[in-house]
Amino acid sequence: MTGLAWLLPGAPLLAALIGFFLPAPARRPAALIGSAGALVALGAAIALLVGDPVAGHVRLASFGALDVTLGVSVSPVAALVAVAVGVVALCVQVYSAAYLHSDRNYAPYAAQISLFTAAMLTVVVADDLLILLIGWEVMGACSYLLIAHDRSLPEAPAAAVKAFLVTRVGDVGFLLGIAVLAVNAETLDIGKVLAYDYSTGTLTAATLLLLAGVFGKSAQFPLHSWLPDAMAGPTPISALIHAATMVAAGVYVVARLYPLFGASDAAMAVLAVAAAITMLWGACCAMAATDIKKVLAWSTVSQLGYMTGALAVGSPPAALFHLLSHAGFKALLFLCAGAVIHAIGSNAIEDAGGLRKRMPVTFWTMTVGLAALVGIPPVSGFWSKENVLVQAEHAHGWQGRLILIAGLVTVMLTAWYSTRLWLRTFFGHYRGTAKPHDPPALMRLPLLVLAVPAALFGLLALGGWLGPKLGGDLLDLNSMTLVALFLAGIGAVAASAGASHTDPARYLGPLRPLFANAFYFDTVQDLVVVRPVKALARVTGFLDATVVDGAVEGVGTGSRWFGGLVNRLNAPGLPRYATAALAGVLLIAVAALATEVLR
Amino acid sequence: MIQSIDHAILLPAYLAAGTAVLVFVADLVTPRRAVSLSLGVLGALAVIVAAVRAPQGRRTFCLPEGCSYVYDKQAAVVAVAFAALTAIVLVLSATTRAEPGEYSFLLACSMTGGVVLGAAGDLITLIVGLETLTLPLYALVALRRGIRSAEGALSLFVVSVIATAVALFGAALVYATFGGVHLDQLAKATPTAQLVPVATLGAVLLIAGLAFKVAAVPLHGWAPATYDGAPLPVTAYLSTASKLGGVIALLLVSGALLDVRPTTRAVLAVLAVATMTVGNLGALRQTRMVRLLAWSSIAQAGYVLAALVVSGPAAVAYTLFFVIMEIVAFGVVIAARNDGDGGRIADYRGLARRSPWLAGALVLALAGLAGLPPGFAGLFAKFTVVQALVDGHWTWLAVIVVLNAVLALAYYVRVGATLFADSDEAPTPIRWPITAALAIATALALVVGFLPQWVLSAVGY
Amino acid sequence: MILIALLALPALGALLAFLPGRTGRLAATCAAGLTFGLSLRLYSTDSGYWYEFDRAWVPALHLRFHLGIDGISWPLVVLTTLLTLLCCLYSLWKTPDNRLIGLLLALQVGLLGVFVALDLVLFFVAFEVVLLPMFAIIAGWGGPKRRHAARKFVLYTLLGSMLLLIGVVLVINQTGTADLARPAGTASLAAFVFLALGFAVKAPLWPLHSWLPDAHSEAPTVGSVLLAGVLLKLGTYGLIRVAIPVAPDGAREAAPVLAALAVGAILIGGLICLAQKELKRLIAYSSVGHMGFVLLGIATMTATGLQAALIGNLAHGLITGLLFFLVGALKDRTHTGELSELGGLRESSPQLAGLLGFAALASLGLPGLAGFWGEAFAVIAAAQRGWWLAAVLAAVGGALAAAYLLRLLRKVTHGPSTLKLTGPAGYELAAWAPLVVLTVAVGLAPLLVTGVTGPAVDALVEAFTK
Repeated sequence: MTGLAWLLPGAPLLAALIGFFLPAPARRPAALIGSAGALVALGAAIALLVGDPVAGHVRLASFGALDVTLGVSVSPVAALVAVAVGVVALCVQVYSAAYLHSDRNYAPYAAQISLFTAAMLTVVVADDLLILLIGWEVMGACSYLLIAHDRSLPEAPAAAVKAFLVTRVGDVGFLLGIAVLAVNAETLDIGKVLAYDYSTGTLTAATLLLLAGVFGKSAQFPLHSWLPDAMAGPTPISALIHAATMVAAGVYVVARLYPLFGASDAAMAVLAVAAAITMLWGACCAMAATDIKKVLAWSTVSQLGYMTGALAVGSPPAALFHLLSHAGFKALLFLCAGAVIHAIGSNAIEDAGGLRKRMPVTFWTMTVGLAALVGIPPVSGFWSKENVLVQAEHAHGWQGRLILIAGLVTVMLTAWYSTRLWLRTFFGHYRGTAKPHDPPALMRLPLLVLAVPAALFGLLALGGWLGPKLGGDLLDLNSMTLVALFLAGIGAVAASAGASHTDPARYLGPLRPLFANAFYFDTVQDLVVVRPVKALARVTGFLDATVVDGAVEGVGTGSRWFGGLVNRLNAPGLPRYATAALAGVLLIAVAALATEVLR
Repeated sequence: MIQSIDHAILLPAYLAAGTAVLVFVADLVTPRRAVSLSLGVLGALAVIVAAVRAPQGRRTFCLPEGCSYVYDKQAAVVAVAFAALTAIVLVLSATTRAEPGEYSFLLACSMTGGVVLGAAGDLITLIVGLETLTLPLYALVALRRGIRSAEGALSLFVVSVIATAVALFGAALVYATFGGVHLDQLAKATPTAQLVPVATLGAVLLIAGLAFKVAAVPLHGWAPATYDGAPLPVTAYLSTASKLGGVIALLLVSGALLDVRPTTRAVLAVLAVATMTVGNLGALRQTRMVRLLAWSSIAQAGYVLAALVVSGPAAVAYTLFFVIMEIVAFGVVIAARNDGDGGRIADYRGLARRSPWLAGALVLALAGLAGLPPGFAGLFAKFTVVQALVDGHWTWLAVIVVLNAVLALAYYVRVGATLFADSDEAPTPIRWPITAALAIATALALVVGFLPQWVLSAVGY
Repeated sequence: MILIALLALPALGALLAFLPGRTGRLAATCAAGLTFGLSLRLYSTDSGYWYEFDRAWVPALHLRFHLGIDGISWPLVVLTTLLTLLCCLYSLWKTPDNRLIGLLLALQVGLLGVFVALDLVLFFVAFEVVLLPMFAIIAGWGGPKRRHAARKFVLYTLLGSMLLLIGVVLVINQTGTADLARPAGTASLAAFVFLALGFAVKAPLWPLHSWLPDAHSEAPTVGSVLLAGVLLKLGTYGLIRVAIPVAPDGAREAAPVLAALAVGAILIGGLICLAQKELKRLIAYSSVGHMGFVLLGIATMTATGLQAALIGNLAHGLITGLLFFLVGALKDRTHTGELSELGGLRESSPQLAGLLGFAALASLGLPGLAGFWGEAFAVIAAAQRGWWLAAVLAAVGGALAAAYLLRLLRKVTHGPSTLKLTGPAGYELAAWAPLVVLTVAVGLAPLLVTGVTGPAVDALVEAFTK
């Protein structure tokens, strides 16, 4: 069974390595290899899910007393997440083959997806902090490569750099957090780290540092700004990043290391505040977004808030449940959005409209996805989101109340923007110019496949099978559910008003530009971080050239000047030599005599 | 008082003087270049053999206070070095336009002075030997006809006179305060307390006067002009043999007088710092080859003076390494210029293409002077000096030495890089004696580079 | 004897390069190949010194011809022989000049000499051997401002080695031995400071780095590769092999200062890169930052830190060597290194863009590639020492590295392209491929390096902590 665990990251990694050596335009073999890698990983994950937990270790390196072990440990939770990753990755591989049918650099693209998958699976199965970090950061690099894939988009390179850099800034904290944990416990093994008895101060420092990395990867405020921009990548990549990899990694890691996080009040408090801000922030921005993918991107930010919120109120099972169901429906939503964009040749909601009849498959699958996003029973999102809210209600302390209130408000807002998207895309009259139609079979198939978990995943919880796997009770509906549904209804109705004629976003009034520009956060970030760093860089470069190197060059110039002086003083002329000689000797004699006499 | 004279240890000096006479007479009989030079070389070789074979550790011309002629290992090494340098310079002079008879005679005289100097046991012998070494040089410098040559000779002469006067005055003070001139005796004696300042002044003046021979600052001014004006082989001799003579004289004196007062050592250290720094600075912007080498040899003398502050053997070792490198450098200049003057540095552009072996030898010599591989001899020389200084707790002086080494490399690499620049001049033919002399010198430089222990053992470091 | 062969082979090769025409070039390259093979054969799993050779040379100067190789030096020896071989092969096609190849081999003699010397004076001598060949390579085959750059290189680094000389002599004076195999470990702080200053210039440690950008931006490709790949390692290797073992007490006193400067180098190097306009200068400054991590690891004086430093050393040699090869190829094709004039490499030569992307990611310390281990564990080692501020700042420096390398990629590979560039030629790929493979291999299996260096580092640390 350990072999299967190795296969999880191993199969996609191998696929990636092969893929990098294929000629760039070789689309068909690249797609096959990529899909095969994902398929093998998926198979292994399913086998591990039904089997018992496994673990294995191989020493990778020693740095003094610290050993890095290539350790894997597959708990049921890990297996479940791995299955989700496998499914989404497979769908993305298949879908991409059709979506990017005329791409001339398909082979590296598919290989990068495989590498991305391998990295995420590494994070999922890692039993060593350093190995975890490897997967963690390779994902950042892959997201960079994939977001920048589209050469025709001028904003793609910047978005890619932003994605990598923002997460990398968070990873500074992550690495330091690992250092704190490892230095105290004198091991990098996750099992031993979890069992180690840290002092409160150490634990607070370590978890807060780790949270920086988590915030970066899982797009929590204030490190969330890269995620909407990452839409510049091809749509299947958005599905991959938003559903099963990257953003899921942060939540998963907190759950994996929950014994540490749960023991630190400070970390929990920070997590709760960030979660509340993030879910509201994302929802608000989604309300005014004009780009189909941007709406979905902001919705991811918002939904991630639910997951971290669940963690903050002490319920990793609820967080993981929402993570899994979100993986399903968000992947579906992005692939649907891809189908729409593919059909109408534009990203803008304003160019869509009335697609219900023209793209029935897309319409129905997207409807399922949006229902799950809003949380309408009986689709998956309903169960997982209710679970988060119920856990928040049950939680003690202010964190629970904060998450509950923010969560309920967000439910309403989510319903509002989801309805808006649904109505403006599929109802009314068609406002675009291209001739929309349902996508080809290879793209349609993943939509249909993903629609199944998006619709039915919650029922696994009903069946009582999922709870034990995730380590908690997942079905605990109560009156809060009705409140939530009521609020969702209000949101949906409010968004419906006149939506067939005009964009309901105009009702936002003065808030609309604020939301549409994401509270001008990028501008603030630019002013507070980017510009000062750039200015500092320029000043440092200038000082280095003028002061540090200037001193060096100055010594050179100075020596030459003195050299010239010596030569001028020594201009030919016998009297001069003689005078200098006599004067010099006299000086030496007087000096020597003076020293002696004065002594 | 009847003295028995130990002629065995005087044999090298006899042979050197004999060579001078022989060359002079031969020139009267057959005034041919080849004869004069070959006789000179043969004489020098005979001196080498005699110097090696002569019994070491014996002394002669003894008084109760001490002996005036001490033939020890150091004296033998000095005699060999002088004779070898003279021989090489004679061969390098194969194409020099000068009266060969006069020329060989003067060089042989100078060699005699050097041989005697190495064995000097008192101040009088020392100064006489040194003057015998120097006097012929005034004439030699002027051998190349022309105003520059004459001016150089006059500069050398006048400054030399000043220096000798200073040195003699110093020697007189030393004699007055110590009551003796024998070096052994000086090393043991201590002047009475109220005479100590005068004794110190004497020592300082003596050292300052002798420092002229190594072109130490402030007695350095003559060197660049004189070097550039003299025939190239004479310049080579000036910057090697004459310098070696100065070092030996300083060594003998300082060995006897340095411990009188700390002031003496301090004066030497100050002279060393001034000499190396001024020498290197002066060389930085030189555009004429010989002038650059002149300034560089001033700087090199500074390193020797620094070594002298703490250790005589280190100073001699450095000097020997230095003269080997220097003679190679001048050998290349002579070969490349084919009886011109040293020319501008720019004239050496493309030498690596025209005559790769010459360029290789010059690179070796310059690297050695800079103290860098492939000039291993120079590297070990610098190492010796620094080690001596640090061991003697003069670390600050060692630091100044190494900083100067950096300064010096600036001009050595400038010359080195010029050799490899592009140029399409045609190669000049080189006469075989010069090739041979250069090859021997270069081989010697390589050998002592890999076996520096020979030199270090010879000088007792 | 095998160690003598290791030095004699490249020396012979340098002489063979004097043979006229192709024969000389090929013979010299063969010598480089044989040296590489020989260096691989030296591998052993013994503890202590695998091979040792000891003869008196110049007793008066405490100079013994004492060579030895162990787990600390072997990886660097292999790195040297590999990079030299690759540079020779590259030059065979690119600049078929016997003199250049001869100089490369002469350089190799000095480099290998430093890595196998077990006598302090011999170490110094070998250290000096490197100077002039490198000067000649820059001055002979460099860019338009090569004269100035070469002079600056040679004078500045000579300053370093002259301070080293003082340190060497001080050590011998204070401990009475020049043996590096069994150092007395009683030299003073002053001795350490001189040694460390000498090595710091070579490494280079901020603020003694300013020779490096000029040298790199003007040096020919093979010069840059060897300069970054091996020459800088002389400084860090010297600290590990010489400065710390001979003067551990002094080292402990000076360690915080060294660490502070190392962190300064990381941050300042990164910031300067962020505003840098020229490709080769940018990579040169990135070397300052990367060597900062190595120096930080050394400054901790712990087994973890030294291990990190050694693997970081090696990784930097591989990655920066590759980067300079790639940048050199790019400059050969576009005739400019100005970032503002480059762009669109992804369009004009996807293969080159892909390789550059790989090298940049490796350089920014992406986990799974060679550069990661040294940097991550330098941070962890600093944390172990309780130098939290240093750890934090160094980690921030890691983020800066990402920022400037991504900026570089964005300027060079993205955007529209006006040119159509030829893809990498066969000989170029042959020179680059081993570096790519090793970067991945060391990244995925760091045990390849730590397994070799581990026992030697443990022994070293034990020796100076006792």
